Amino acid sequence: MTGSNPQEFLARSMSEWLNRLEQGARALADVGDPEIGTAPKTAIYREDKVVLYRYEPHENVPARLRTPLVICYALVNRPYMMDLQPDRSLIRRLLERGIDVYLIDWGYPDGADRLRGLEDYALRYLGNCIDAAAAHAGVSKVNLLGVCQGGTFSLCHAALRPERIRNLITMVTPVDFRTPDNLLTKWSDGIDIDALVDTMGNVPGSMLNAVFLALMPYRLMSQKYVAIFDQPTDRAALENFVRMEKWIFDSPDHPGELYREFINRLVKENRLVNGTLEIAGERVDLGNVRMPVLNIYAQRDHLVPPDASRALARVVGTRDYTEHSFNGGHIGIYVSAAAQTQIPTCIAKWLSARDEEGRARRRGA
Amino acid sequence: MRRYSNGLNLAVQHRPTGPLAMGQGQETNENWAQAWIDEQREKLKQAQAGGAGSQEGAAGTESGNPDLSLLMQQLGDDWRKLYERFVRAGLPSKGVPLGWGREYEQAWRDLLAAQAEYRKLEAEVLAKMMAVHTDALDRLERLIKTRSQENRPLANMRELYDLWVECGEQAYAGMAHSEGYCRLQAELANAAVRVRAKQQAILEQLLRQFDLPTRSELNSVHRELRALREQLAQLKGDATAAATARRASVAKAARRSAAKDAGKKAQEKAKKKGRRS
Repeated sequence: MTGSNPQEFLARSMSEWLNRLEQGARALADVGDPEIGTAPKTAIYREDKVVLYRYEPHENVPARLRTPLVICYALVNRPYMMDLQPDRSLIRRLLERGIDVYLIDWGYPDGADRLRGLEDYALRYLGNCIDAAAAHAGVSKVNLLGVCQGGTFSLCHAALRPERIRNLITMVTPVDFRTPDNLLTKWSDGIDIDALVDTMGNVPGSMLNAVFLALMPYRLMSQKYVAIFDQPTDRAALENFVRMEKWIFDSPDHPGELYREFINRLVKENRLVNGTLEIAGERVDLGNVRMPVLNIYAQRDHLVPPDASRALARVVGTRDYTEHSFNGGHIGIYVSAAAQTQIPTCIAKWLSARDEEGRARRRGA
Repeated sequence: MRRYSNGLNLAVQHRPTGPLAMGQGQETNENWAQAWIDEQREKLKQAQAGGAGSQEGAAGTESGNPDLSLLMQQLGDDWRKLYERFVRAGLPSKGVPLGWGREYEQAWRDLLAAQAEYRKLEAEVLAKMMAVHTDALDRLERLIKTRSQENRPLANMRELYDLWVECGEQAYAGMAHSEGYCRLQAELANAAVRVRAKQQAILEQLLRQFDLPTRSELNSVHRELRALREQLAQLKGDATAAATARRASVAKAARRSAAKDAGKKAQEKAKKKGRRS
């Protein structure tokens, strides 16, 4: 604020800013509804609302790994975040590196799914999808990539059914839910989850979104909108923004029993890292996870703090454990420009070095 | 007769504050009580006459019955007013609801209490948020003063806004991580759940009255369906295991039989060989 009368300066600056915001709002109105999840794929297995997709291999890239990669995403948001748009797609980048990719879509759970819990998702559905992918690819084992809550499911599955997984990758996955910087855990401590689930049934996605927004209300409810309106001429940026907005708020309801078990046993009682979690009467011992493990976490993750993920190192049974730290946040790890090269390259290299069947096939060839 | 109208209301409004002594005001009481009885008789007559009138006016009704709704309306007017006074007096208190509608009334009382509790906690959270906004402005003010002292003036409104966001997040984080806020927010969430539970209870009562399906019923159906699916999976698993065992048993028997046959053949071959030699 230099020189002129402060009131005049404020009025002028405000006026200029509002003009820009108005232009931004007009430009945004022209954007429409951009396409999402455009990589070609085919449904190869269905069970209840769960669908397993296989992505069409990249035309010009020979298959480098024989073992398929099954991606297990969270139920909190939709899995098309893995293939948001052609130039922001972890799946496309993996296909370009010769990886055979399968993706589990949990669908939109409704009232009929309210009684489904960890046993259904982490054991039955995930197990059946692994079987289906393996059968489709003609192999005995798969590589499993678990993302966020899907990473927690993958760890549980790998601990209980290790014979079906050749290599395990966890991405922004909570393992220790009681790290001091975990605000979501602090907030959930005093909430009567049993009463919540008994009353709500499935936990509405909109309610979960409200909680996520409340983690950083000034940034998430105000600044990000102001920021996008501030660059009204950049149509690509506006389209990206609209895609992200759709993904963020396209939140399925969370199956009630799964939510009850997840919050009570995993978040409040921290049973996964303590080794006291039981699914279908079987104890989930992460010491049984002896296949190679790659753990990818984001340094500035406000939902799953790095320490929550890094805790895996001290409880996992494998001798082949690798960590990869990404300089970004929980969302940036999928869609940022840096992530587009860093993450798929890291995954492809790590898998290539461990894909025994792939190696065997190449030797045979 | 009109001069005695609303006799019951008058009685309610001017009810004696203490017990009457034997004989005191007895005659007066008999008078107004008789007046009230007369009034009710009059209303009955009017209702019957009105009912008959409405029957005449209503096309196609030949039953000749009086209009019961009108009758009840007229008869019930005094009682309704009394009941309303009673409810108004009783609702804020913790007195036990009585009578035919007690469950219904209890459900509404529970809802009102839950709503009141929710509003109280909501106001507390809002007060905390106001404190955060105030703190954010204080922080912003200090920051701008510092920048001014360092000769780093703000370039425009957007920069001021971004700084305000930064200060807001800092102020909010301080509160959001505090034990008191975490507890308050959890209490608010629990209170919201209680409000919803009470609303559901009332809604379920209404749905049952209309013989419409309720969430509780659907939950029962889902539970039964789930149990059936588990049983089916168990039976399938048993059947698969039995079939596998049967196949294994058949294969074993076949192997035995084949071994036996091979043994016999070998013996016969040996015999033939012996005879030849």
